[in-house]
Amino acid sequence: MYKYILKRLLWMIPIILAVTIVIFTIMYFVPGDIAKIILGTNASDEAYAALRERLGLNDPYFIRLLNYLKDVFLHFNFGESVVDGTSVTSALISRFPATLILAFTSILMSIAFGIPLGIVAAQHNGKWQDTTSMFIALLGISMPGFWLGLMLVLLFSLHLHWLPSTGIGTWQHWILPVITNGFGGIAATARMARSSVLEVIEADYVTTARAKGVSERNILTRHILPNSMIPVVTSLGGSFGMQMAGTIVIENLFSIPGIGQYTVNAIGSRDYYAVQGSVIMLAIVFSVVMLLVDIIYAYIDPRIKAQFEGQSKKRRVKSGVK
Amino acid sequence: MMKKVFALILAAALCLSFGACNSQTDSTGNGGTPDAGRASEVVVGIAADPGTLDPFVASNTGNIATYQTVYEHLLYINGMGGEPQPSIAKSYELESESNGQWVWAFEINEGVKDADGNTYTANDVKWYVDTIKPLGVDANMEYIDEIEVVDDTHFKMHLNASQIGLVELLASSIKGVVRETYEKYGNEFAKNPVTTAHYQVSKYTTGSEIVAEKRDDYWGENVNKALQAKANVDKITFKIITDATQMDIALQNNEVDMIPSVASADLFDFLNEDDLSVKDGFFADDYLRGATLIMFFNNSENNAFANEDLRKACAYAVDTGAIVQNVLGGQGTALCTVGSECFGDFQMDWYDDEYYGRNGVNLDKAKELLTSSGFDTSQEIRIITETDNTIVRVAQIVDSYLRELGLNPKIESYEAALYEEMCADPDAWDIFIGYRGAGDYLANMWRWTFDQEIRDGFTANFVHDEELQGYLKACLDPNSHTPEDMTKFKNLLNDKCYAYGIFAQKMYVLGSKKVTEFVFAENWSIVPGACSYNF
Amino acid sequence: MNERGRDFLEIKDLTVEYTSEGQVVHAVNGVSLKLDKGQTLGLVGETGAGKTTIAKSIMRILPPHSSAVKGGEIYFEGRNLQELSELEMHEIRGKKISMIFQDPMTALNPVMRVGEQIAEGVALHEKVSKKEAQERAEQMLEMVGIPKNRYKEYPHQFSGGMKQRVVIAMTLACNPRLLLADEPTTALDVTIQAQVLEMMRNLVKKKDASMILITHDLGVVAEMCDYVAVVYAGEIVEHGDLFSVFDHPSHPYTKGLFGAIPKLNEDKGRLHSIEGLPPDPTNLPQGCYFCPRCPLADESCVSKKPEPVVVGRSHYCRCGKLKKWEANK
Repeated sequence: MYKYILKRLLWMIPIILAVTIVIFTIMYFVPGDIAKIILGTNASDEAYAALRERLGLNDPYFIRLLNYLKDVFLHFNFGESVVDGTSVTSALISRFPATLILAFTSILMSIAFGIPLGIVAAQHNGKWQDTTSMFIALLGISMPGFWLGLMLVLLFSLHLHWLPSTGIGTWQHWILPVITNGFGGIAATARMARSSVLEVIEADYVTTARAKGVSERNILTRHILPNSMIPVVTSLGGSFGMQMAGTIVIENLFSIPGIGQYTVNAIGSRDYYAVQGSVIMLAIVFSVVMLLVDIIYAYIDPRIKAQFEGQSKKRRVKSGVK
Repeated sequence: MMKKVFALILAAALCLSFGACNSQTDSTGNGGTPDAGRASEVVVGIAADPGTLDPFVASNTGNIATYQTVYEHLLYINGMGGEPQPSIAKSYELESESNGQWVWAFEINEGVKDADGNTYTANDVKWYVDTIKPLGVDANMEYIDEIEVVDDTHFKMHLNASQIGLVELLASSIKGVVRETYEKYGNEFAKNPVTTAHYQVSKYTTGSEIVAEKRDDYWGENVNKALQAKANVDKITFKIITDATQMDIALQNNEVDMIPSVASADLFDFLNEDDLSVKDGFFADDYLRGATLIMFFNNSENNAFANEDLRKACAYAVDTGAIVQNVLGGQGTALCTVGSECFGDFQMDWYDDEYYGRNGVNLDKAKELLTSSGFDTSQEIRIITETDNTIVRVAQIVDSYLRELGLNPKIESYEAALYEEMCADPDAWDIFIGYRGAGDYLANMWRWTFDQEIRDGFTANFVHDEELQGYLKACLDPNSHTPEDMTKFKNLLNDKCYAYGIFAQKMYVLGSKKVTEFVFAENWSIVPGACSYNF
Repeated sequence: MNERGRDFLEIKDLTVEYTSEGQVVHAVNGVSLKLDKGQTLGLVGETGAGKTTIAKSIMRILPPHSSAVKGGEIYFEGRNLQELSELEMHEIRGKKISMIFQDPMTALNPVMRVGEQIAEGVALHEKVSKKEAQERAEQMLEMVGIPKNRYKEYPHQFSGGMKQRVVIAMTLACNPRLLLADEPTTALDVTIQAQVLEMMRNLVKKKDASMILITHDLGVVAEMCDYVAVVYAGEIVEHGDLFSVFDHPSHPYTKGLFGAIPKLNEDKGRLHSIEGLPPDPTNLPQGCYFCPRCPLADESCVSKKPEPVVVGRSHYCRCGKLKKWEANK
């Protein structure tokens, strides 16, 4: 198993390298004059030209690419924001935790509320519990995040004065953003869990367990759950990665200094280094998350673990035969 | 085993994220300590994060809102087109002018000390200008040839241009930063600048808030009479709220005490609908925005709008008064030229002259001009705009007016970066609608918009007109910046209709009932320290 | 007939319906059976005849939402299982009555260790410590011919035959009185089949348990069973002592089944098959269910349901034509 993990980690390197080259190339070709954005519309043509020269925008593609690759992979330096000169690396690091909290709590909420909701729906297939759960799930998926967020703010902040409306600082500040962000995730997970559990509930080994006299509760925890969680884990893993990149709406609404906001602003102002840095960082996060998801699979389902190990076992056998 | 490892990793990740979250803030406790008894505090909502508090960066929404508090300048200008007030600089005068060189002699106050105790001298002025010029982040700096240091409190500013208000503009952007202090703090300076100002940043949480506190050892106590130097409140917190609706909610919720501008959609949360007076519990001030919405025609050779009659036809067909009612809800003024009355050198009697569709569509005249222009009405007219909601709505109304005239317009909206590129390309558009303005004088706004020297003999909308340029030069020269000269330019501009002024928006600045008076800097940013309060 | 008190298992008039897509499926229609202690009963019939449903009804593990027991009683050791509470059934399932399912590939939980699955049953029903349950499970593995060091392995590491043995170990771990085996060797190949059957027979004899063996393979019945019951369209059409039924199959359907078996010492060009198809369980005919396919059928069969007729020692048959046929013999 450790060999497998090591192999996966090593594979990450060429993947991140490829991502870097691709995003660099895209930003290179994207139209839009960054000099006009920094200086505004009123400056002279010489001023624009001088700024472009100073930012190194006139060098040929390969030189710029090589310099950038050198900086990122050898010095771990994502460069400085073209717009205000701040270090992209430190900006990303300082903004990472906020987005991580949002993404993480969303996953927790999906697990804590979404999975049980889905299980209840599956166990009472066709009855009122099922319909109610799926209705709630439908609501969650259909409600746009910013609308839900604003409604919550109007209710809990403006009318009831229970919670602050924006910003970070105390744990109370996080309640509304986390709920807004997590609600959609709960819905999606519930649906996923329901369909997965429905499949497993009909399985022979569940009937066997029942025939053995195993209590309903134990049937659920030992037989149904471990077998039905694989698709749910996949979806949660992918969702976490998406969350890290996509909480922009929530961040903007609640003024949370996260990566989403940073990246979108950087794109709008063609802040090359900031955009590239963000994308690379997200690629790394995503790869790590996917690896974690695979490790969790192996932990849940021994067949998959055998598969992973078998890949290295095969080699051993091969080399053993002379 | 795997279970335990996994649980450990999970727990570690959670702890890390919470820990890192809290350590985002840097506190160095710089600046003043609140005195015994309750410190007064004010929270100001700002719409964007400055990103950095370093002085050598281009201006953005975030730092425009905060730099009047965090830094002091050589001069302070009270409000748009307002009186320049000496701040760090004590006095200034034009010493000599010859051959395109203007030399201004400045005297700065003695004993100007920053929060670290270092003294600010003329050498620091020279260092500041020498540092910021090559960075190219402030276009105006190219007008300074050099700063000549005479002694610690005297220096000479050599300018290579002299348009009206230039030296004040420059002096009010040069910040009070001592070189020694800046170099001592290095990268830390960007988070916690140590300046000569009355307020010092005590905490900057990126993306979230900036806290500035009044210091007791301020050099300018009783010496610096500029409004900027006042400190009517002990602690100012700039709270970053990126969503416009949330900004309004924050004020209603008393989470902030003042907000710089309110979306017209939410205006009536604060004003009484019938008489537009402010609701109880709030305080409001309003101003006419210096940046005005203008419709520019493409005057380049190959474009249909090089034809004067066509331009005028379109101008007669668009009722700007109706646009003000429709888009701004009446909160604004329809223009009578390119530029608004908020400037000091605007002549109020200009409103008496006729100005195309300002008071209503004149469809007959428009059609007459259209025919005489010989324009093929089936040809598509490309109107380009930024993706700003207000501009797009205006564009839609203009579109429908032009359709009534029988034309075939099409609206294309672009995000900021692309938009600039499109505007610079003479083949990419026929009309663009955008904001244009200036911070001090109408003449300067005209300069930014119509100075043909900036772009190789053409204006931003490709006009080449030497007579117009002559009048412009006259307006810009401080010696001939008279109402008559201004009127000459305005008449020619209106006559040729190179561009058609649409509206100037009325902006409301709102505060809680703590606020009794707002004080502004030259770009309408609030100076919280100078505002009046009743605590 | 034995007294009710001494009967080990008695099913009386069991009727079970399924609902599927709005239609009612008449799966079991008035089935009555008896079984003594230590005896093995073979339930024979085509797929869909209702055999599995009968077995599942005994254990009360029919799918709750789509099935319903419409009538009848099932007595086990003197108690009517239909009237017991869920909690009481929990005590019985796995301990007094156990079931082996058809497909060993899917009968085991893929993510649980094999030994643990056996131990789970033990720990449930016997008041033993975890360690003892584990030891018992290891014993069972050995008993079915699997080395006990494979306790910690997962089902996917076993072949089909070995998986079925694990299932058997699981089922017998708590020494059940009654074993329900639903086509236990159908999914295995012939050579393994023989092994597994032999093992089952030995274990059952050793534990002095009773067994109901569901199969469509008459050969297996001959090997394993003491009694045979032939099921057609949810009814028992013939029931009796093994030798009696095999020597004198009486019901036309039973005869058809036997007739369809190829014999080693005969040279047949083509296999006999019974004409027609089993009836649609949502729409059963009036009268005798086999009537549409029966070579002996006449009008009386169409309208009247046949009564059981005794044709030998412990051997009866439901056929209205029987007396006549007997008479013609």
